[in-house]
Amino acid sequence: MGEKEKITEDPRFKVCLREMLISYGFYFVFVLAVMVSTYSLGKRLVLGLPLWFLIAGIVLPVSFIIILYFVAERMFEDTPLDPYLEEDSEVKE
Amino acid sequence: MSNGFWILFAFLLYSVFLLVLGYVGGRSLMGLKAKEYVDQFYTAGRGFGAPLVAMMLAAGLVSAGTFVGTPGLAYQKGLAWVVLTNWQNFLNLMILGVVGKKIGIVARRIDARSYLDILGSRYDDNRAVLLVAGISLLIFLVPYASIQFVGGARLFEGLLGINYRHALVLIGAAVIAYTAFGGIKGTVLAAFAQGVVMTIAAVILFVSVVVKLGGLTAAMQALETVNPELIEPTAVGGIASPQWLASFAVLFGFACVGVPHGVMPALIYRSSRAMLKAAVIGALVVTTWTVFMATTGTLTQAVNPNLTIPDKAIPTVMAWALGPALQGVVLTGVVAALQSTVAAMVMLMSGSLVMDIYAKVFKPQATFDHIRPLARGATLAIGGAAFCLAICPPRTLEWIVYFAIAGLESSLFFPLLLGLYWKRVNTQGALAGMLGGLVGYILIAGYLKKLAFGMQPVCMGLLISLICLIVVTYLTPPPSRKVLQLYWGRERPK
Repeated sequence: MGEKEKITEDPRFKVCLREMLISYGFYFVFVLAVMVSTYSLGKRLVLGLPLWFLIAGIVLPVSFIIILYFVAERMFEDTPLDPYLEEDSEVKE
Repeated sequence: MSNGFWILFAFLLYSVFLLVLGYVGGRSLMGLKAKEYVDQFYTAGRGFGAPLVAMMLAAGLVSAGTFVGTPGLAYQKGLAWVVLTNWQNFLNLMILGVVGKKIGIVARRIDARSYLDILGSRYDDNRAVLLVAGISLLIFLVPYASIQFVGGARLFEGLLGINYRHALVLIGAAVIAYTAFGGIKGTVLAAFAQGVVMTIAAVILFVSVVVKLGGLTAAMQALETVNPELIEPTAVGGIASPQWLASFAVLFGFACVGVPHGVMPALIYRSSRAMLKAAVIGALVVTTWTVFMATTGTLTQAVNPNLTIPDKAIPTVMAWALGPALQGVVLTGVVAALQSTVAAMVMLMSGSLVMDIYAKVFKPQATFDHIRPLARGATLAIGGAAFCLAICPPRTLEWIVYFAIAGLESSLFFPLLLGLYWKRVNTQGALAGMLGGLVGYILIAGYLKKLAFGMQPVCMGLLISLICLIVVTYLTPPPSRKVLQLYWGRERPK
């Protein structure tokens, strides 16, 4: 780094970082839930399907889509995508 | 005879429809100046809303794999493969949620047109970085694109009862013509139409098969009679161990950002709201396709347990369960999936070759008028190469899909993700990560299979890439202030 002075960070990139972690967290929980139910529930037929498959293959994916809808609504921000924030928006900070 | 006629009729009608969509997209580009032309051709002005982006993302990534290859493997291995393939359901989130917003802002700063633009400008437009990335793209995406042709040809072969190579010519002609003259605008419009048709097709096929087998319970009992392992979570032959299953979540989820043709749509959405909607709609659509198509693949065992080529499962079960008109509709849906994937990938590769490798590495002074015919030529050449590879098809195309995705992720995932979120990573580190991942993955997947430790080799490929990247980064100086300002700073660099 040639010059020692630090750059002023764009606050939007903090939001990006947080949303990246939320996305990975969401997916990790999904994977965990599917892994556990796949190997623990057994193959008794429920509603015409082996129980492990009904839960891991259908119920969990559908539930997580619904959860994702709420995660997207509540935890993600609507961020302007302009290349640089305009001067007047500095007031907000 | 009349059967084949109706199927073919439906297909031709649909192809004409796609060509018209491509033409409408292409025509709007005619009056533009050369520079605008390139911008428009590759990103169409960043004006797309949520449903279009979602469909493009989903239709671009989910393809012959989901509609021919995965059902083929689900036929061979059983229901466990449906669960394994379900890892891809959240790929829209794993791309848009993870890097979408950051790429959206940075792309507008540097006027990025492609994946390699984002990667390149983070690493000082280093020629070696661009070359290695370009080489990875060619090594892995050309076979991947060719597999799409294989999938399409398998369907025509099975449904029309014609020779595989004749079927290949039929599908190749449609895909190449459409891609070369449409550009991304045509691709997105067409991808949307295709996404809708594919969804309807998948549901119709599954319901028809279940009804004809006498309901779900009867179908499962029939599967158990054929081979009880088909409905076990560990799959036929016990291949699906927990570490095997979990490692595919890396391939289809955690490391999706490493798949360049998947990241392209992050360059085109209009607002962050549209992007989020795209992630949710995309999850819904991909889940529908995966569950219905893959489960249908396993159910085919109850119809015919003796197929030697697993990829023929879907054409076989379609011919068994559906009348000719519906066969035409479903065939159309599947062919649609292939066309959109080939289109997205060929566009990406020609974009990368011409814009990033040729223009930046060999001819920094090239004018846009110069590039215009080259972009079109590269599109045709790459499409043609993919087509030629399809002349000798594998029995199970899905393994090549896995190979291609895993290879790309091994070399590109960490350099892109960490480049966007870790200030310290520099050009040398990224280059080491790319090379390490590329070479490591090819060695482990091809020669040192024991080193994969019972997982998809992508896991070890990624690990090697990460280690190389971190070690070399810390041995070399941090990135320039200019780069930090572009990727993290608030003010426009002077």
